[in-house]
Amino acid sequence: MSEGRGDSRRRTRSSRGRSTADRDGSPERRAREGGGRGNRSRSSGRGAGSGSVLTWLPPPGRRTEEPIHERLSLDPATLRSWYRTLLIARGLDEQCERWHGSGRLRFYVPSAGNEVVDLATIGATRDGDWIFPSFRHMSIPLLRGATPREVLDAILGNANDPARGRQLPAQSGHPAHHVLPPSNARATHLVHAAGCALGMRLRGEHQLAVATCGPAAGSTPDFHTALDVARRTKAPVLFVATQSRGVAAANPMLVAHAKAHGIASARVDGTDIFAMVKASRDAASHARRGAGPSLIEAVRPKPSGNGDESAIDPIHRFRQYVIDIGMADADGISALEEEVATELEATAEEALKTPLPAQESRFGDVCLQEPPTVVAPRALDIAEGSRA
Amino acid sequence: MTTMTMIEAVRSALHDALASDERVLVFGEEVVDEGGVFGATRGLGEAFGAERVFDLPVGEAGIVGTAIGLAMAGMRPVPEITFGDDLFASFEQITNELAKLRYRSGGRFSSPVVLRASIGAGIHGGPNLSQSPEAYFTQTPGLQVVVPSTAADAYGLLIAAIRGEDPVLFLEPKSLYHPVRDAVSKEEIVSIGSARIAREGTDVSLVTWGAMVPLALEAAAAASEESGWSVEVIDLRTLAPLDTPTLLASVEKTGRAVILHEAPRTGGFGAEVAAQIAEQAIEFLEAPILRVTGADTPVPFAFEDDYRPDMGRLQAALRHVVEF
Repeated sequence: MSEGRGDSRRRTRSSRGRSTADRDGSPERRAREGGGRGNRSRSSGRGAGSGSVLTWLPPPGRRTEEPIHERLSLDPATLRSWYRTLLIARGLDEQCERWHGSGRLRFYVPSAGNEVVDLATIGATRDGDWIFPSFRHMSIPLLRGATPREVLDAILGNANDPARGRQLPAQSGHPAHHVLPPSNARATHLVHAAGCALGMRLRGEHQLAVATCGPAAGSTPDFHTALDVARRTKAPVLFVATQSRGVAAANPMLVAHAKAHGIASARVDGTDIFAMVKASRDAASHARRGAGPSLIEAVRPKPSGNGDESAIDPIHRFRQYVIDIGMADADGISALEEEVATELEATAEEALKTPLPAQESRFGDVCLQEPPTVVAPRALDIAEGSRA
Repeated sequence: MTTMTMIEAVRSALHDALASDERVLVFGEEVVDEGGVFGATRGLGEAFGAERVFDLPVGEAGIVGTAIGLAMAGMRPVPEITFGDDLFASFEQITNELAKLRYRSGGRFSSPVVLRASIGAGIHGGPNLSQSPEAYFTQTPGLQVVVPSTAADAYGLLIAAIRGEDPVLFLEPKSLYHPVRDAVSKEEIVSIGSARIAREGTDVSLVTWGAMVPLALEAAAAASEESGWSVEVIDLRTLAPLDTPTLLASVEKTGRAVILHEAPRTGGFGAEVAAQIAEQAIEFLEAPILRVTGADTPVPFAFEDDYRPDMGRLQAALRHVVEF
């Protein structure tokens, strides 16, 4: 056992106290210990205010030759497929940003920066689990089985969008993938996730619900309601909160809220794919074995002194890692990036050619049985439309 | 056919729904031990166990949000919000989430939640335990808003609501929970969206719902006896979707309409009823459409009876339109 690990744990203990969740074997503690086969796991407060942050990759801008992925029994093929998925997710976001900039999309909520968080948390889920995403997590549908084309159709709200262009541009949900479409509320869906998890537990199913949220969620009553309901009903739910870069003073430290509610929690570097995978797997198994809810606060470190933003880009950090350990070279990766970009360009072009849904469709799906008051104005609207 | 009070009919419907469909769950604030403040769920916890009937933390947003999540997991949640006034604590969950999920998902998701709440005056609960909040919710597409006025309708509509595929706000007038026993047929399912002609008449249509139905019937009987006027009483039962055909057919027949509700006047659902009549049947009218309503004030504790519409005000309105 190394000195480094011991130091890390002592520091963490003294600064954080020992909550029930800690003694209970929280994901955070287990995550810290999971890396404990040697001096591997570092808890660092860097750029994240007080409180330790689980991180396995070297600090941004530094290199490692240690195959960290082997701690998680990941093979090179998986890493390659992950990188491709991350590229697609980022590429779709960049495409939407371009459409937004050019006026093609009149509203867009970007997702860049959360791809690794999504990959890790969704990677810990199974088919029967339910996902309740917030905005800014466009990669979740992709990771649950949607195609890039389906993602873009939903963003454009075109005739192929199953939601028929009714949502503001966002990822659409899919019943078969067990993914809900996000509403624009900040934390209402966290309560839904708790309720859904309770429902699955009542049905005797060993599935879990996962909900993502942003830092502002922690300031809403719904956030606390969700944690309260989940704890009291021992619901198998994982809340994943992404924290702003460097943790803005206005945003509360969400793990502190979780501790106050008596819920297991972990603070993790959300740009470190391996730390996120480790924490997500632990949280998922925590829920599946009946230990109840937990929360992961995924933080983003501050950029290093030179202000190089790319150094704290989660995809860039992953890219740097596979090059550093010699799994791929920059040329090979560039070729893959080129290939994905070309594919997405073609997909985007096709999606743009798809017309809007039929005007008539906007009146449907208010209720299963259409209320008569929807029918009457429709007749008026259509008459007016034909006059114009 | 048995006779029941409205609270017994609600309890009976919950019992029968729990017995016939294992997806049905009943929960809320202290619904197990006490059966809720009004006793609607009394005995259900013992009969069906803690996995079907349970308490949640006191917090209406949590109760409604949990219900939506339970519906995603395939359940049929029938949560209780003790006082309709507390629906406001879950307003966002109801209006932004519960009501809109079907629409914004293109019909691929729905939230079949039946949310029960007691409404209106009747217990001298003052400004925050006596409100009639229906109009806040009829403005939200995707919600069905039901207000029964008899035990038979409470039973039949609650069963229909639980069997349905869309969210229902089931508002029970607390002043009608106990006073009257009605015959209840368990075979009679009442369709949501259908108004009831509570008394037939030819001179004036008195349109009302919920707590005001008994007063309307009393006024109609008195008008017949004292003045010989034939007052048709329409109990809307469901406010959303509104049964406009029944409403318009009545007004076309009588040529006069008085609307009666307990909620405040301005922006009350009566305004919508009046607008429907004005837009679609104005050529049949022989008198202005009048509203008899609660005052545009909160419900005052010491003056609750004065706040509510009474026989004198209702009779004056009927006289005005008949003699116009």
